[in-house]
Parts: sequence; C-alpha cells; structure tokens
Amino acid sequence: MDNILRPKSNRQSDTTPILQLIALVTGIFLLAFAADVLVLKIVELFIAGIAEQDTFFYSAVRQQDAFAKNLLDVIKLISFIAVGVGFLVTLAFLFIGGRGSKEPLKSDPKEVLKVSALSLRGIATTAVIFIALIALYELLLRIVGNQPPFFLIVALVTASMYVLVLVYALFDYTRDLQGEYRRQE
Amino acid sequence: MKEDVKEDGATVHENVEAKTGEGYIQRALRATLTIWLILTVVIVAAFGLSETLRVAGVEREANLLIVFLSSLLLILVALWLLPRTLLTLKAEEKDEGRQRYIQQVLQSLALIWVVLAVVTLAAIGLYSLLRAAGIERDENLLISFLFSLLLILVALWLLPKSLLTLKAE
Repeated sequence: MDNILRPKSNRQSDTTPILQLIALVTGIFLLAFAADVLVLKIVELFIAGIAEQDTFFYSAVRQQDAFAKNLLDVIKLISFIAVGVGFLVTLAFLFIGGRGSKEPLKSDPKEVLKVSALSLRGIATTAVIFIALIALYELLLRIVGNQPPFFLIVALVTASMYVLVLVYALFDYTRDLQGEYRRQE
Repeated sequence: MKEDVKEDGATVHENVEAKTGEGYIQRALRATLTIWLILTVVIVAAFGLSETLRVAGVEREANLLIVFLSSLLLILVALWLLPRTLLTLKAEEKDEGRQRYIQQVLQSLALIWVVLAVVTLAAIGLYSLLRAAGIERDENLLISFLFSLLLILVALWLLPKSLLTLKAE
C-alpha cells in the first residue's frame, strides 16, 4: 500500500513546483513587458508633445524630432527582444538546471512566492518612478517650452535608462530564483 | 486594576517615544513633509498623464475623469504604502518595514532623477561641442545619445543595486 502511494506523491511534488515556477516566471515577465510597453508609450507621447511644440520651428528641428522618434522605436524593439529572450533563457536555464541535477528542482513555495512578490513590487514601483519623472519633464516642457534638443535627449535617456533598469531587475529576479533553488538542494 | 492597565499603557508609550527618540512635533513635521512630497509626486504624475492623454487625442472630459481616477488610485496606493504612524502620528514600531520601503522608494526616485539630470547635462554639453564643431543635427543627436547610454551604464554599475530593485540589502 505504501509503495503504491509513494510514486504518486513523488510525481506530485515534482510537477507542482515546476508548474508553479512557470506560472510565476511568466507572470513576472508579463508584468515587466506591460510596464515596458506603458513607460515607452508614455515616452513616445512625450516626444509627440515635443513635436507638437516644434510645429513653428524650422524644418531641421522637426526632422530631428522624427529622428528621435526613430531612435525610440529602436530602443523599444531592443527592449521587447530583451524581455522575450530573457524569458526564454530563464525558462531554459531553470529546466536545464533541473534536468542536469539528479534531484528534481525543489523549493519552498512560500520563499519562491516571496522572491516573486518582491520582484513584482520592485518592477511596478520602478515603472511608477519613471512615469513620475517623465511627468516632471512634461511639466518643465510646458513651462519653459521646447529648447531643442534638450527634451529629446531627456526622453531618449529616460527610455534607455528605464530599459536597462528593467533588464537588471529581471536578471536579479532570475538570480534570486536560482539562489532559492540552490539553497533548497 | 483599570488604572494600572492605563498606567502600563502610558509607560509603554513613553518608552517607545524614548526608544525612537522622536517627539510629537518631530513626527508631525516628518509626516507633513512626507505627505507633501507624495502629494507633489501624485500631482506631477497626474499632470503628466493629462498631457499624455491630450497628445494622444483623448477628449477633455474623458481626460479629466481618467486623470482624476488615476490620481485617486495613486493616492490610495501611497496611503497604503505609507507607514501608519505617519497618518495617525502615534509612536509605534510595527510599521518599520513599510517606512523603510517608502524611504527607499523616495531615495530611489531622487537618485534616479539626479542620475538622469547629470547624464542629460553631459549629453547636452557634448551636443553643444559637436554643434560648434559643425556636425549635422541628426548625427550629433545620435552621438550624444550613444554617449549618454555609456554614462547610464557606468551610473547603473556604480549605483547601489538595492535602489534599482527596491529590495532591502
């Protein structure tokens, strides 16, 4: 009786953490992607606001606005690819790590949940911080008017810094997760 | 018996005040400053959202409604994050975690802003130099942007990591 029951309970302990892990990692990366889309969309609209103020400037300034928008599109594309590749690499790394070792991946679900919740909170708060900073520069733009190319550089610098911080936050989450699994082994 | 309990409560309260070393006026001042700072951040964020929606072509009434609801949500989040002692002005030690987090968020906000300002100033400086050297506008912007990217990487490498991930060290 005991032998019959044992494989069942083992199977359950193997599959539950993996499913939970996939769900958590997917959730975190989805949130990161959503935050990335949101912040970059706001930066895009900020650049549109700058372009709106530049309507009466000479054509070279308007051309520069268009160029900055193209640069932002490149940043956007790179960030989306980075989040997608990061997600795939994280999953692959965790699975390969699990298969490489003789013991299946084990972890304390509470600890994994805690690590994920902390990362979630960090990513959400960082997005709010950057949105607040962009808003501050929008306020400045409305007060002083556009001083080409100051606000364009602000927009590009803010967008690239946000992408780098987000990538670091995701990297940190993956590292924490790995640390958690290693600790349990 | 009731008087004894009351006396005990008062003694505990006094002990906590003595332990934190903070009087009522100090607490009130700290609460005022923190709430003012948070309100400023919320108002600036609301303004930014309003501008963003305007540029996106949202109608005036809808814009106002969305901005108002978003500000309400932001205020609720801020109130939830704020240590309860800042709202009740009572000396308690239970909210240390939240207090630390809100302090960390404000520190992070200030630090990221400073870094952004420094990087932007450096990029603008380079832009002016290149313009004086007669380089074309778009090319100039690209070079300044790449230079600022490099500066951001250096800054992120130097910054305390806990301020980027908002996790306690």
